[in-house]
Amino acid sequence: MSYRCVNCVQAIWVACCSAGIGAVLGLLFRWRHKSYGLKLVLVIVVLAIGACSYGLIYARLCPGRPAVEPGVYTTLTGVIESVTQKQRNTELWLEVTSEGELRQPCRFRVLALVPVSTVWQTGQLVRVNGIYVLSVSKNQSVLDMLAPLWLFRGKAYPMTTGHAWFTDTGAAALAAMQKTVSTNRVASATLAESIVIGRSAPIANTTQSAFLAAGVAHLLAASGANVTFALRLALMPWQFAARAAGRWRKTARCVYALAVIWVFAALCGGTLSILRAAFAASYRILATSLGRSVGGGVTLTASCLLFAIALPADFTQPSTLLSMFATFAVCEATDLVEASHVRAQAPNPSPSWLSFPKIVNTLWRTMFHSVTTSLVVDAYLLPVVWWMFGQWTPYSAIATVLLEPMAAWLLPLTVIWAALSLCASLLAQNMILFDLAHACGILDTNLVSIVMAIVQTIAHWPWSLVQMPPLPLPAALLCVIAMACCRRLHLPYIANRRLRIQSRVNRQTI
Amino acid sequence: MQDRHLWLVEPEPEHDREAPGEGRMLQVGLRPLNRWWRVVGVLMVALCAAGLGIFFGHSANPKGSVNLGTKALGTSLQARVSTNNATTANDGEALGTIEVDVHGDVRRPGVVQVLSTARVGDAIRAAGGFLHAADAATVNQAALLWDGEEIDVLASAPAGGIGDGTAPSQIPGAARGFASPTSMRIDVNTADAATLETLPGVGPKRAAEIIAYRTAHGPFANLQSLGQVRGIGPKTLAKWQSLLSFGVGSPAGGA
Repeated sequence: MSYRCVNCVQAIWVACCSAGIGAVLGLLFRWRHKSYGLKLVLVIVVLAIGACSYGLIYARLCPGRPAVEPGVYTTLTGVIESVTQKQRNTELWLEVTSEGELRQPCRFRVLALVPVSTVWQTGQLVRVNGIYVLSVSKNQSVLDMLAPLWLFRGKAYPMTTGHAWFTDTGAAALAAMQKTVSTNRVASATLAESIVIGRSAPIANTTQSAFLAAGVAHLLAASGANVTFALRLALMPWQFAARAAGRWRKTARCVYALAVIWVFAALCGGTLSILRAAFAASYRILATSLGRSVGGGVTLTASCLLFAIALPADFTQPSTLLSMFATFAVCEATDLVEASHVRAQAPNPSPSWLSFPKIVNTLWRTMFHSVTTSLVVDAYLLPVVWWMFGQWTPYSAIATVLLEPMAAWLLPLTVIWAALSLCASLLAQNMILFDLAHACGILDTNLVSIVMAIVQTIAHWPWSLVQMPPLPLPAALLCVIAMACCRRLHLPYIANRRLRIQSRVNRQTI
Repeated sequence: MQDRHLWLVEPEPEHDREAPGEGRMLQVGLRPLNRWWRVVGVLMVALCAAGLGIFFGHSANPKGSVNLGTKALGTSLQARVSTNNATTANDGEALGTIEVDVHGDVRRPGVVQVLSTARVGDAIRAAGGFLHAADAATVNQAALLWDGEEIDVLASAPAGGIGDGTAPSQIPGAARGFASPTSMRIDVNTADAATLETLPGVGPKRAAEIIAYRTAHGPFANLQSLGQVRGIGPKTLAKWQSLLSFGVGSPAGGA
């Protein structure tokens, strides 16, 4: 497929899919609510056409593809996302922000092959002069179709930037943290930082592979859980400052929360998963303040819509799709499993000491429901991960249940460690702060070591990462639909009317 | 006995009333399945899908090429996936694949991914094959490949000569043409470092060593004399046999 028509094909594909989904939903609604069927189809089709038109206009203004043919000399400007040193050249994975001598805005990623001459760093702004080399991978995978790979060969030059404050802050915090611990704990500090703000680039490939094989690679990425944590942490001091806001308290809290979310997203490097989570959290805050619905499905839909409007070029990126589907899976699993768990826990108006059997029972129930929820989430993710990456991690649920609570402890601990380390580095003579940061660092790195030990153990279990044969998209969709149907399964039953009448009679007689 | 209490019951809607003479009072409805059964159903669907995938994967690869417990291949998107924190794939080199840039007279010039044990012919086939059948005469298809190599398939020779008469050493940025005719060979006694680097397995260091040896000991008389340079063994010499010349009229230096 020619790379020039990728956007048009994607737009047509999205329009057709939306129309198809609209028709199916319309038929279903027509069956249940006769008056809504046609209206629903019309609304969905109009929305799909509008979205595609917007996408095409956006693609025209800020193209998501190269503007020149392969072989034509051009200039790219972008941010380095990763650096791979090879024997003959250096591979820079670039997020291209402008192209050509006139620096026309654009948004796509290229793999730039540059000579081995300079040491490049992640987050650095560079200008690369050279030519595109067309990729002709024989068996095009799903990733090739969703996010085409543009190869670029040329020479790179560093550029100065005034917008790297957040990147510098993250790097400064990491450097300060690493100074407070011994050199053999430096890798643990990097891992701890990655768990908080999701920068996995500095982490060793073997460590990343272990997380992948254990099925907990999502721990290395910042997502909704990290945004929630940041919000909770930031709202703690707000409780004391709220009185000063007076009658504008509600509005001020909303603005403050939104600011916290987007600053945190910028601190995390603005990756696609964190942006989607930030959109979801923003909608939730705004909807709560305006008294609108904040259910899981509504929030997910609204956040996807906001993401599509703000960043249409990144909407079909694999990490975006995976992030959205993971959120959908979590919503489904929560609806299916957690409701009964919550219902079973009766409210306790008078706090009292729990007996040992009660504690054991509560722990057992919590663990059981966590495992079940993780299993359902993994079941939903299986066909999508299989379709995208051709692999399956069977122990993901176990690893998630074991590691999520530890990650929840790691998040505040790492933030405290980073804050203390930064303060200690700023106030060089203050040994108390340094000792406190050191103590936090020891505790944090020990916890990270435990996490790594668990991850390594699970990664070394047999069949921890199963490579699967290619799965076509219809089969993956069918599998997801089958699971969604199972979740909403209603079985027919035969009710004996006579028995029912008798029961009603007895009830009324009594 | 029980029917006498029926007056206590509220009158039923019209459509719920049975047809006269119908003996059985049955009604079919829909009832939500128990929550845990639904959980089991979802898990069963996923397990069946995974089971089918593993089964068919094994069937398609009877020699066990479905790597259970091994790393997954990131295909050509290895670099992208490695940056994508949540979906990190693994190093393609560990799985024995390399990337080679093929251009010149091939159908789909560009970077192709082949096995590390592949030869030039495999890379050209991955790039769509020769543009002209006669181009095959200009290429040593049996030569081994290495990661990051650049293969320039030269146009086949017209009646009067070979291609446009330009030697690979004179083409800016050209790599291996693998041309067997004498005029396409690299004269190891006159070639500069950049030209020598186009030979398979020669980097800047080895090219510098060849030039240093040539400067110190004079021109190479034949292929065997080239073997005296440190790091060049018989296997390397065998690969270079069809690519080198040692002066006018001695294509392989009598090797």
